[in-house]
Amino acid sequence: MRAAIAAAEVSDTLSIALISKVYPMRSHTVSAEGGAGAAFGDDDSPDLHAFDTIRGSDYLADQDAVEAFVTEAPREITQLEHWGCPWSREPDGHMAVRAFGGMSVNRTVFAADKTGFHLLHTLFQTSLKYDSIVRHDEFFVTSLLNEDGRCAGVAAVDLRDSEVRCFVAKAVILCTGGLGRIFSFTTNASINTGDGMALAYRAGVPLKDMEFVQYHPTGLPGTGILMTEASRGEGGYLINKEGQRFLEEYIPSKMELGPRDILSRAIMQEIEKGRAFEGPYGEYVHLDVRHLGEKLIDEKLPFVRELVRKFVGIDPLHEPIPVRPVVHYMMGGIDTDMMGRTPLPGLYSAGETACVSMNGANRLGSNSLSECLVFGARVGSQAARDALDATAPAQEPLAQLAEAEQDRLVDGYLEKEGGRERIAPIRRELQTAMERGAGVFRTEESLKEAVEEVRGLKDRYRDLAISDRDRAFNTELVAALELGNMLDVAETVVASGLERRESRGSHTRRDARDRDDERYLKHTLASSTPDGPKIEYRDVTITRWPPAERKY
Amino acid sequence: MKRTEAPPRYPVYVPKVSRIWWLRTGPFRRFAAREITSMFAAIFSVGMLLFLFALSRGRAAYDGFLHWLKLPWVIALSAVILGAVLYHTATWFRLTTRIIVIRLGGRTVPTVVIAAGLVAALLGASALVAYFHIWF
Amino acid sequence: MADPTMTLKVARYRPEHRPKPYFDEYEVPYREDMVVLDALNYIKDELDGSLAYRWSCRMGVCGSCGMMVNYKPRLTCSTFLREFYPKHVVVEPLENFPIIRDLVIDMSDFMEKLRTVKPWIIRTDEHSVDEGEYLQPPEQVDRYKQFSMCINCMLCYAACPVYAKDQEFIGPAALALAYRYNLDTRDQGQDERQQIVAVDWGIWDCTFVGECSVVCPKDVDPAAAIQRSKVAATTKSMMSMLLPFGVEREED
Repeated sequence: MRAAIAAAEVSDTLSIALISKVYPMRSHTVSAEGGAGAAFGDDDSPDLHAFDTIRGSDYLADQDAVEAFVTEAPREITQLEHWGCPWSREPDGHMAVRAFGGMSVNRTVFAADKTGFHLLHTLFQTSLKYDSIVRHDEFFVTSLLNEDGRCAGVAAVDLRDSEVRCFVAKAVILCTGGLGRIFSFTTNASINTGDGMALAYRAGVPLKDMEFVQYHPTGLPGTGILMTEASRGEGGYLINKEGQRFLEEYIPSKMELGPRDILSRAIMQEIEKGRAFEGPYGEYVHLDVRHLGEKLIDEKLPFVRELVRKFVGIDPLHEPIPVRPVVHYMMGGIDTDMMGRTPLPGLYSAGETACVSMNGANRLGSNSLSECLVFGARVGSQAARDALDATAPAQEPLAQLAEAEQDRLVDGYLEKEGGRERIAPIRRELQTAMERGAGVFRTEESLKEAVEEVRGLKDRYRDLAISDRDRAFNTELVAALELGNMLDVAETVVASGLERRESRGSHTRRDARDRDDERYLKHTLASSTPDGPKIEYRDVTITRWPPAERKY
Repeated sequence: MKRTEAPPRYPVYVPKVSRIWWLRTGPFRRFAAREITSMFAAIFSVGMLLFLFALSRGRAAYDGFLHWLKLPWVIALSAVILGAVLYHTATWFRLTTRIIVIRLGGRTVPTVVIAAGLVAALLGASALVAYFHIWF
Repeated sequence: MADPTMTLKVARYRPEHRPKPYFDEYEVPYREDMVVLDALNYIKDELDGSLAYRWSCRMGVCGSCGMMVNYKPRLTCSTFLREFYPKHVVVEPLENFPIIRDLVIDMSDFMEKLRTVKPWIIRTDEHSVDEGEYLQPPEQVDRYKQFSMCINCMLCYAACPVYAKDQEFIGPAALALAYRYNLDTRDQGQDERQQIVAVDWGIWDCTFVGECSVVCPKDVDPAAAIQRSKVAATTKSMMSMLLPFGVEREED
C-alpha cells in the first residue's frame, strides 16, 4: 500500500491496481506489535543506525542499501504521523522511542504495542483518498505474464467466480510478505505462504539469501502467537527452569536486548541442556514482565496482556509467560537492487518479499516496519517513473497467456480427473520436514534430508486432487495454489542452506560453527531449473563498515 | 480508491429479516421496552395537559378531574405509567453516562459520578414538587 | 476410552448445487484449548475440503474470522470450544450480509461505507514532512485512541438491527471511524465529515440499541461514538445559527 500511494503521488495519470488475495486490512503487517526503528534523537545518528543494522546482519547486508534505508527512515515515520498514525508520545507531544534488540540507542517509534495494526490501518485509510488506486480484493495472482523478456502483467483468479483475469501493466510490484507457513511453528498468519517469491522464482528471477530464516525468541508454545520484543525492550527478563536470567552466559553485555538470532540459539541451548520447562507443546522458558508493574504493562504492553490472558489463561502481571523460539521472518527473498528492481525488467519487489539486502543474515527488531515504509515508497515511485516512460505492452499475447492459465487451473485443479493426494497431509509433512531440517540448528544431514523430502513432496503434489469443484469462492483451490508456492520456496530455503557451509546470523550449522568471510561473504542466489534450484553467489556490497567480528 | 464493478456470476443469498426481530434476544427485548416506555412518558404529559385544561375551566372542572383521578382504574393506570416512566428514566440515565464526556483538568469524570448527579437531580426535583403538592 | 469429540452444525451455501443455505453436521476432536476456528480447520483438512470460510492471523487482530457462533457474532479465532462443550455449536455466516458461499459474506458494502466517511487526515494547512511531526501530547492521543482500535471485523454490523432492516445505514464501525478522525487534533475536516455523517442514513438512523458496543471484541464502543457525534453535530448546528460568523473548534 505504501508503494501504491507513492506511485499515485508521482502522477495521477497512472492507474494503479492493488491486487490482493485478502482485503487490505487483513495483511499480516496488522499483527506487528513492537515498533518501527528510525534515527531521530539527538543522541542518535543514521550512521549509528546503519552500524547497528549491519552488525546485526552479521555483515551480510548490502551497506549501500542500509545507508539509504537509515537516511530515509525518519522521514517515512514522520510521513505516517502526518497521515494520522497514532504514535505514542512523550509528554511534550513528540513521538516517543523505546529500546529494542540489537540497537545501541532507543530508536524504536511505537504505537502502544499494536504498531503494525495502526500503521496498516493508517496506510489503508489514507490510500482510500486516491482515485487512481483501484483495488481488486480477493484476487489470487497465479502467474506473472512475461512478454519479450519483460514482465508485462499478471494473471489473477477472481475468487468470486474462479475466473482468471488478465492484468496488463507497465510495472508489477510484488509485496506479498513472508513464508512462515512452510514451517509448522510460526508467528505468521495462514496467508503467509511465499506467493510473491514463488511467482518470481517460477518466472526465472533468482531468490536471494533464502536460508536465512529468523527465529523470534519469544513465541507462545502451541499457537506460535508472537510475544513482542517490546516486552523485553520495556524491561522483561528471560528465565530458565532454575530461575536464572540465563542470557548472562551467552550475551552478558546486552542480555534480553541482544539480537534475535543469538537469543533464539541461547534458548535452544538451554533446552538442550535440560534447563527448560516441559509442556504439552514442547519445552519453553519464561518471559517475566511481572516486575514492570500494572501501570507500565497497561500503557505500553496492553495487547500482550490481552493475548496472554486469552490464549494462555494467565495474567502476565502475576505469572511469567511461557515462550520458545518461533519462525517469524524471512530475511531472504526476491533479488532486488536498492530501488526495488529485479533482474526481470518491469518486475519490482519490496518489503519482506524482497531481499535488497538490507537485513543480511539477521534482521534487527523494528527494522521491518521501517523497511516496508522506506522501500515501499522508493519502489513505488521508481516503478511509477519507469511506467511513465515505458510503452504499454501488447495486450493480445498476454490475454492468451491468461487464457492458458485459466486452462491450467481448470485442468489441474477444478476439473482434474484422478489424483490420490490431499492438501493437508502434504502440507503437514512439508512443515515437519522444514522444522526438522531447517531449524535453529542445522547440519549437512538434516538439510540433505530436507532437500530430499521437499523434492518427494513436490512429486506427490503433482498427484493432488481437491474435493471442492465449485467455482464460487473456492478456498480449497486457494489452499492448493498456496501449497504449490510453499513447496517452491521451501526447496530454495533448504538448497541454499545446504550449500552455505558456515554459520552466519540466523543460519547456524553444527558442522560449521564459524563464520567464513573468505568463502561466504556473499549472497546466495537460488534460480529455478527443472532439476531443482541452482545455487550461485554474489559479493556483498561493502562501503564504510569493513566486516569484523560480531561482538556485543 | 474504487472497487472494480463486476456483477457476481454466482448468486449471493440475501437473508430476510424477521418483522419481530425485537423479540428475538434479551438485549433486543430490553431495547424495545425502553422505546415503548417512552410512550408512557408521552401519555403522562397528556395527562398533565388535561390537568391544566381542567384547572383553566374553573373550580368545578378541577374538582371533577381530581375525583376522576381517584377512581380505582385510574390509580392502577397511574401506577403503570409511573413504573414505566421510572424504568425509562433509569435507562436514559444509563445511556447518558455513555454519551456525556466531561473533562476536568485533563482527566475524565467517572461515569458513576455522572449517574449519581442525574439521580440527585431527579430526587431534588421530586422533593421540590412533593413540597408544593403536599405541604404548600 | 474414546477421545472426546464435539459436534458442529455449520451453515453451508453452495449456489452451484442448492439455491438456499442448509446445515451440515460434523464431529471434531475436542481439546480444552481449541477455538472454533481450530474446529473449522479440522473439518476442512480432514472431513470436508469444500467448507469455505475466511481467516488469517488467528490472534484476534486481523478481523477476518467473524461469524455467528450460537447466534451471536464472534471472532472464531478467539472463541473457545470449552465455552460450549459438551453441547453442540452452531456456526453461521455473519448476519445482515449477503452470503457468497458457506461462511463467506459479501463485504463490499462495508468497504464502501468506510470510504465514504473520509477516514484520513484532512488538513486545510498542510505542514511539510520536513518540518517534523505534529505535536500531540498523550492526553490528546487518549481522546481518540479507543476509537482507532477497530479491526474492521463487522461484528457490530451483524449485531445492529438498524443495519439489518436498512442497508443504507452507514453503520457503527464507519461512524466510529469518522468520529475517531474528528477527535484527532491533527485533523481539520470535522465540517466535511459532518456533512457526510449527520444525515438520515448516518448518525440519525441510529436508535442507540447499543448491541454494537456489546459485541465489539476491541471495546471500541461505536454506540458511544455515534451518540457523541449526534451531540457534536447538534451543538455545531445550533452554534452556527447563534454565531453565524464562525466558532472555535468544539471540544467533543
